[in-house]
Amino acid sequence: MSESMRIHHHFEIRWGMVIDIDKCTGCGACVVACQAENNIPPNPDPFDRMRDPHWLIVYKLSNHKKFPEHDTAYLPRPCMQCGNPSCASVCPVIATTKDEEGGIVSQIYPRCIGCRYCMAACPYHSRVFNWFDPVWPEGMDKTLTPFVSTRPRGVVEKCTFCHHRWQIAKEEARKRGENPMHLDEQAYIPACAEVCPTGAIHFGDLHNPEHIVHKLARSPYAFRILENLGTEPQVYYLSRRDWVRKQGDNHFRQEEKKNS
Amino acid sequence: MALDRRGFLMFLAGGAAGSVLTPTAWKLTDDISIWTQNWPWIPRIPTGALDEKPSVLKLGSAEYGLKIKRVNKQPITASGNPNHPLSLGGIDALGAASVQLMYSPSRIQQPMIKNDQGQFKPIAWSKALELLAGLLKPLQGQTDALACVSGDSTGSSREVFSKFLRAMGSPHVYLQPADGLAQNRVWNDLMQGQGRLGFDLENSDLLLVLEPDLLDTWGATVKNQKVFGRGKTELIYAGALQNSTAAVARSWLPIHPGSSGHLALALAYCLFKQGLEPRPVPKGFREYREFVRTHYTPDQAARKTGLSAQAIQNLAQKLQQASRPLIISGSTTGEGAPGFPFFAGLSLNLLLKRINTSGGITCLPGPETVLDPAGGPSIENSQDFCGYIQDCATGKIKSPEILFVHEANPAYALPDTRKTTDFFDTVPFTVNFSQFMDETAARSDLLLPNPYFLERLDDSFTPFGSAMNNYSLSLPVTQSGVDAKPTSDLLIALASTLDHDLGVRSYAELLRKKCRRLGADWGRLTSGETWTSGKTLSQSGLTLWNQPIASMCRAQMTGTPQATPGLVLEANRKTGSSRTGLPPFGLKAHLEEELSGALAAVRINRQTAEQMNVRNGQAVTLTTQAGSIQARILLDEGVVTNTVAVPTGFGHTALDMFSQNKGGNANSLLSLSCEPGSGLCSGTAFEVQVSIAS
Repeated sequence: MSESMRIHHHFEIRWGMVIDIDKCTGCGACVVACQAENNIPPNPDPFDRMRDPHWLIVYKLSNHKKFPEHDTAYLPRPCMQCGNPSCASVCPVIATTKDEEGGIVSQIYPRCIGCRYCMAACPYHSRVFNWFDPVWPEGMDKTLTPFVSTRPRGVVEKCTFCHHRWQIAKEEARKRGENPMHLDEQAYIPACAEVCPTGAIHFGDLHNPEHIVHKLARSPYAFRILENLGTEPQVYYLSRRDWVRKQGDNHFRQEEKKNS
Repeated sequence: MALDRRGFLMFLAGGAAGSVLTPTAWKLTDDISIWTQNWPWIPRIPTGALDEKPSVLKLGSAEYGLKIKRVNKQPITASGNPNHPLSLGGIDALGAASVQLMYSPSRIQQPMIKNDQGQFKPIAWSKALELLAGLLKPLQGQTDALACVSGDSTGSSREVFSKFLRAMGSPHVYLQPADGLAQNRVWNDLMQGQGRLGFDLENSDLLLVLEPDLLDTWGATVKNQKVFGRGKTELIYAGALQNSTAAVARSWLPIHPGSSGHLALALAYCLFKQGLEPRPVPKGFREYREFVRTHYTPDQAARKTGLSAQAIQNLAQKLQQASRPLIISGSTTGEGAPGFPFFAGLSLNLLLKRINTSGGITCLPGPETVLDPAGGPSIENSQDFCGYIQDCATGKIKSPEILFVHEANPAYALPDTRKTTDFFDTVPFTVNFSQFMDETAARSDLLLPNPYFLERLDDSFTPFGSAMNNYSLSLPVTQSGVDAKPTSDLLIALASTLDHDLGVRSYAELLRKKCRRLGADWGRLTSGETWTSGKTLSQSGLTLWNQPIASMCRAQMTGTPQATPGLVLEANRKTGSSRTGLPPFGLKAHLEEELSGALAAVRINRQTAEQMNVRNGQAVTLTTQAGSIQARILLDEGVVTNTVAVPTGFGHTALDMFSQNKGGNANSLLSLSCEPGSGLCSGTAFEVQVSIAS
C-alpha cells in the first residue's frame, strides 16, 4: 500500500477490543446480545451468511491436524474498526467514514445507496447487505431497542462497537461533571463484551494505560487479522497457541515467500 | 432571438454552474435517499424511559439471575445479573435470547381444548377448570390414575404438584431426566450419601471433566464459565469429541463415547498403586478396591477407553499432585445418563478426599418444603419419568387416565421417541401447562398455558451444580401478553374445587412461607437479591460397594468392544432447551456449517469417513435399533475414530418456523434402557449404522 493511501487518523481516544481466543467457548451469547441490542431481525434460515444480516459472527478454527493431534478454537469477528478502513475510501456517498473521535468507523444508513463497494473492499467480510426488508414475527417487534434505527432493504450495515452506548456514557459523564473524553473502563462496553460469560472479550481505549486493552494489545500473544494488509484493525486477538496466531495472517503461498 | 455558438456555450456553462450551486438537486437526492428508506412497513423503534429489572432465567436449562432492560416497562434485552451468584454478570445464548422468545410465534395464546377432529379450539378458563375437575373427581383415591411430569427441578411448583397428586392419592410425580437428578440418586440411594451434591469449581485447582460439556450444558454453566474465565483452574477434558469445554481446556483426552466411568476407575487403580487410601474408610472399600484391581489395570482400561495406559498413569499422577482436584462426571448433553459414570466419578472424588472440602464436592441440605414439612415422598429421589414410561410399557404400572405435563417436552426430549409417543397414545387425557406449542403440547388434549417466566412470580432453589444453597425469585417484569394463568395458582384453585386443602391460598403465599422458613428477607428477594447458605451436611456411612453398586458395575463388564461406529451426542444452549426449541434470536449464533438446508451436520473424522465410504457434505441416514434420522456429513478431526457426533436440539416437528424443518431429533436414535443396580433409565445407543441417503 502506498503512503498516500494511508489515512490513519490519530484520535485522542481509540476504542478497541481484545478477544482472548483461548477463553472463547463459542457459546454464542455475544452474537445474540449483539442482535438484540442493535435491532438485527431474526431469520428462520440464517445459515446462508451471504443473505443474512449479522454484525458479529463466530468462526470455528482448526489446526488442520489429524485426530488425535487436532485442536480447535473459536474466533468471534466484529467489525475491525480499521485505522485505514478500506470500506470508507471506496464509499461514493460518504455513508461510511472514519472521522469521529474514538476511531469507530461510522455507517450512516440514510446515505447508503446500496452499491456494496464497501462490502467488496472489506477484507474481513464484516459488512452485510439487507437483501430484504427486516421482519420481526408479530409481537416480537415490541422488543426493538431505542438505540439503533431499523434498516430497510438496500442498505449496508455493520458493527459499530455499540456506538450508542458511548453516546450514553458521555452524557452520563457530563451529568456527573466528569470529562467525557476520559471515561472509566466500565462506563462504555459494547453488548457482546458485557455479556461474555468467560470474559474473553475485553474493551476499552487502546490509548489509555488505565484500560486493560492497552496492556493486552501489547502482549506477545496478541495479533490482528490480516495485519499485512495495513488496515490497522482496532480489534486484537490473544492466543497462546502458535497455530491460532499463525492463521491470523492467512496469506497466499507466494506472498509468504515475498514477505519472508 | 438567435442562439449563436457563444450563447449556447454560455447557456451550458451557466446551467452546469447553476446545477452545482443550487441546493435543489442535492436536497432532492438526499430526500429521495431518506424517503426511499422510510417505508411504513419498516418497524419503528420505541422511545421512552429506560429501566432495568432483575429476574431469574427459568427455561429448563441452567438457572441464573438476569437483568431485563425495559423501555416504557416493555422488556427489550436481557443481560446477566452481576449480583446473582450463578451469573456474576454472565449470560448464555438462551438467556440472552429469552426476552424475544416471549413473543415466539409458537406461544399458546389462550386455554385450548382438542376437539374430535384433533384440532385445538379456545375454551374459557372457567369451563376448562370445570371440565378438568369433572374428570379428576372420579379418579380420587386411585393410585395409578393420575401422573405428572415436570421439567422444573428448582421451583416450588413441584411442591404444589406433589401435594396435589398426593391429595388425589397418586404417588406418580416425576421430573424430566437430567444429570442432577441421576447424580443425586446415585449419591443418596447407592452411596448412602446425605443431601444434594454441589461442586465447588471456584476453589479447585484442577478440574478433570469426564465427558459432560462443563462450559455449555452441565450444571450452573454460566458460573462454570465465569470460574474458567478467571484462569485460576486447570481444565482437562476427557471425551469423545472436542466440544466447547475441550476447545479451551488445557488438554483434550480422546476416549471412546460412554467410557468415562471406566477411565475414572482406571485412575482409581493407579491411585491405589500409589498407596492412596481414603480416611475414613467408606463401607465396602475393600470390595470396591478388589473390583478395580481386577478389572482396571491400565492395559485393560486402555482397551475400554481408547486412551493409552501411559496417558492414564500420567493423568493419575497429575490428580495426585494437585492440591484441590475435582472430578466432574455426567452425560454429554446434561440430560441424564446411567448411574455408572456418576458413581465412578464420585468414588474417585471420595478416594481423593474431596467431599465437603474447599474446591471439592459439597453436600448441601435439601430444599425446605412448606406444604409438607414432615417429608413425604420426595420428588427428587423418586423414579425418573423414563422409568415410569418403561414400567407402563411393560405393564408393571397401569398407564394413567390423566397426565399433567408441566414445563416439559417429553415427547421430544426423552430417548426412544417411538416408545415415548406410544406412551402418550395410551394416555386418554393429557393436560399441558406449557407456554409453547411444542411436540408434547401438540399431542395433549387440554392446554392451560402458564405465563412465561418474565410474566409470573416463581422461585429457584439451588440449581444443580451450585456449590452452595441459594434461593432467588424469578420476578415478573411485564404483564402477560397472552391469556395465561399461573399453573400453581390454578392447581391450588382446582384442589379447592375438589375439596382438598393444599395449605396455602396462593402461590405467592407459599413463596413467602418458604422465604420465612429459609430465614431470607422477602423485601431483599423481591429487589433481586439472592439468599445463600454455606451450610453443608457431614457424611457418615458413605458406601463404595453394596449389592446394587456391584450389579451396576458388573453389568459394565459384559459390554463388547466397539464393532460398528459409536454415537456421541452433543448439545449446546444455542439450540435452546427441549421446551423452547431453537430460540429465534439464537439461530444466528450457530456456525454456518452446522445446518445445510434441512439437514444438520453430524461430525466424523476422516478415517471414520474412509471406513464408512462417505465424504464431506454427503447426505446420510443414521440408523440405530431405536430409529433413524437424516443428516449431512461434516468431516472434523475433533471426533474420535469410529464415532459419529450427533447434535441435539434439532428435528422439532412442532413449535415455530425457527425450530421446524431443521435436522433430525437425535433422541430418536436412543434406546430406553434401565440400568441394573441403580434402576436409572436413560437413553443409550452405542452402535449406529451410517448409509448414504437415497
